[in-house]
Amino acid sequence: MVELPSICDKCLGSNKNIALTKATSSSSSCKICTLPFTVYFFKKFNRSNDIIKTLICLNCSNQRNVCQCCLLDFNWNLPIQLRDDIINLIQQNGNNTTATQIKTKEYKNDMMKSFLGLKKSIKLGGAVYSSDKESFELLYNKLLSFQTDTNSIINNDALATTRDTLVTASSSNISAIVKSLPLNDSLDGINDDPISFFFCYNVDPSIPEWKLQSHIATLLNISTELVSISINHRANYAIMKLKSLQDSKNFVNKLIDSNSFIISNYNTKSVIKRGYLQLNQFKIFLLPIFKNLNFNLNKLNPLSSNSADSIKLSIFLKKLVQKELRHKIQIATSKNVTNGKTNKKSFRK
Amino acid sequence: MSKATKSWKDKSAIIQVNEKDLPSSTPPQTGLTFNVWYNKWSQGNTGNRRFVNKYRLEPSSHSGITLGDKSSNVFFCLYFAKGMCSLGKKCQYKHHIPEDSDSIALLMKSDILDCFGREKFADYRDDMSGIGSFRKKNRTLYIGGITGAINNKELKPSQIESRLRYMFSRLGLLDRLRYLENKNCAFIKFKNQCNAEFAKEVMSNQTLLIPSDKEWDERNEGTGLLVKWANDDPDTAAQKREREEQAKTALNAMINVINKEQDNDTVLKKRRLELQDSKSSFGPIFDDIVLEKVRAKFRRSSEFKS
Repeated sequence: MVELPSICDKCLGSNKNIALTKATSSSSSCKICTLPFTVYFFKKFNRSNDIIKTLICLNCSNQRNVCQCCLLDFNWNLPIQLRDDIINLIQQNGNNTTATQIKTKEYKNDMMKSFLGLKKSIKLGGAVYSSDKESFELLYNKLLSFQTDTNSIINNDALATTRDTLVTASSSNISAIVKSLPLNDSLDGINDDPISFFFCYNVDPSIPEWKLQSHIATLLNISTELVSISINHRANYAIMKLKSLQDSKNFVNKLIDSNSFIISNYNTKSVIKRGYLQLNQFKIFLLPIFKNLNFNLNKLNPLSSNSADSIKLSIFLKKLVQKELRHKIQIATSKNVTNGKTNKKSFRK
Repeated sequence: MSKATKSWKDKSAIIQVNEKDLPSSTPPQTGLTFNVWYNKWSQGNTGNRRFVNKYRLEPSSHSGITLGDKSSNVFFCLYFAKGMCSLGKKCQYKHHIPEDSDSIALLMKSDILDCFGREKFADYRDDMSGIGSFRKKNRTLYIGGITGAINNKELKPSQIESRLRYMFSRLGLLDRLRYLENKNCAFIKFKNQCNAEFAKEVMSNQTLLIPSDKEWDERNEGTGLLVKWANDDPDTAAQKREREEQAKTALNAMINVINKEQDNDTVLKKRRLELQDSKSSFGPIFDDIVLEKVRAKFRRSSEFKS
């Protein structure tokens, strides 16, 4: 009896008639178990130039419940690892713990690869659930009583503690860098002095550059290419550049219009107005970098390779954020007698 | 949305190099006899195989519509990535920088083929070069050979970093870029895996010199960038972040699966039954109640807004 290959619907396409050819002259070695197997190939439709062929052997595909051509799960159309992750999530009620993980084990050693490949009728990892009806039903019932606490998946506390311990060990001095930061600049000055650079801080290390970039681009309704962002994930700061001065003006106006700013007087000398961006649960603070200031981007650059300095700066910035929030002046209360004087002064400036 | 995406969709792809100008496929003679099977010279020293690619992809001017965009093909042109496709708009493969929609199409298509349609392997090569592994969703590239790529020119670390950023940010959305000054190498993580695959081919054996450098004319005497796959970041914080990211994608994928099973294509189901009687298909995996439950969880957490 001829053993038919197992190929998923996505690979086969919607065509009723497909010529499935068996490669008679040569066999190929399976990508997973390295054993020889019979290769089949076909086209989705006659004139297609995309020849799809089987790349792993039938036994390996059965063990993992995946298609022989695309290696995606038969029932869910997902990569093996992702399928296992989903099953783990359901099994553990959405808590992302490392205990008792379901994982499709793969060997590095060629002997072990073929040893596993020769085992008939076993299911590996998540394939147990996605191929067998009974275990699937169990999983399904579990999903019915799905109680996820999404907060348990995102937990940044552990990160902070590792950082703090690292810094006490290092004895580097970042005062020169801190001095060069434009931390005393207010958002108000933008109307007199057009700028294109912004200094962003309190940038969480989990925020990728593209996310911040597209967030700002959609906010201003411009192309992402007009916004360039470079994040130092270790020091939690970013330098943002808007290619046109008009855009940066619009950006500041948008921030002020949408009430996305904080006024604080933490250093008592002056009142500072900073913008912030709300990105998911994170608040990113923004400061303009004026050209006439002695701030030099190059001063920050040695940081990119020195992680001890970076972490120190990140803690400095974190403390700054806390200080600013503590000394925040509400806009409503700014009309009060106590804060009125300082505010007027700063706005005039 | 963006200007550049509009522009490649509005024009047809140009011919990057004329066919008659293409270099010979036979490598320069380094041995006594030519082995036609391996396309290599044998009996002689193998010589320095590193070189600088004469051609380079210019994303904004070279991309455009090809026959590949009109057909159901999802793969990109490898020659286009290397800056030397002689077919232009008649090419059967796509001629533009991979975007989010392309990434989804590629993920749906296959787990074992890269964005050029080449088969991946179970394990990485020892030097982490080549097409890569299908076992790991690697979005990070290692960039080495920087000294050779700037012909030993004295550059400040910030200049090297900004050059790398400029070159690679043209080839897809960046997740993060880290230049290590004391190791003189860089790690670049992309948003999508297909962009990393694409950028790897584009930037391999390229120079980092720019026309305003005085070394520009001698750029072909350098050795070009080494672009390889990166290993896992040993930093514990980075590993933790990676795990969180993985959990997030798993949750998002679960929602997608649920949605997909809702509008199950009956034609395809029939077809599957015809071909394999042994494999049982369960029909809709999740019903409406479960779907609503999971969605409600998502709504509660602002983090998982799609």
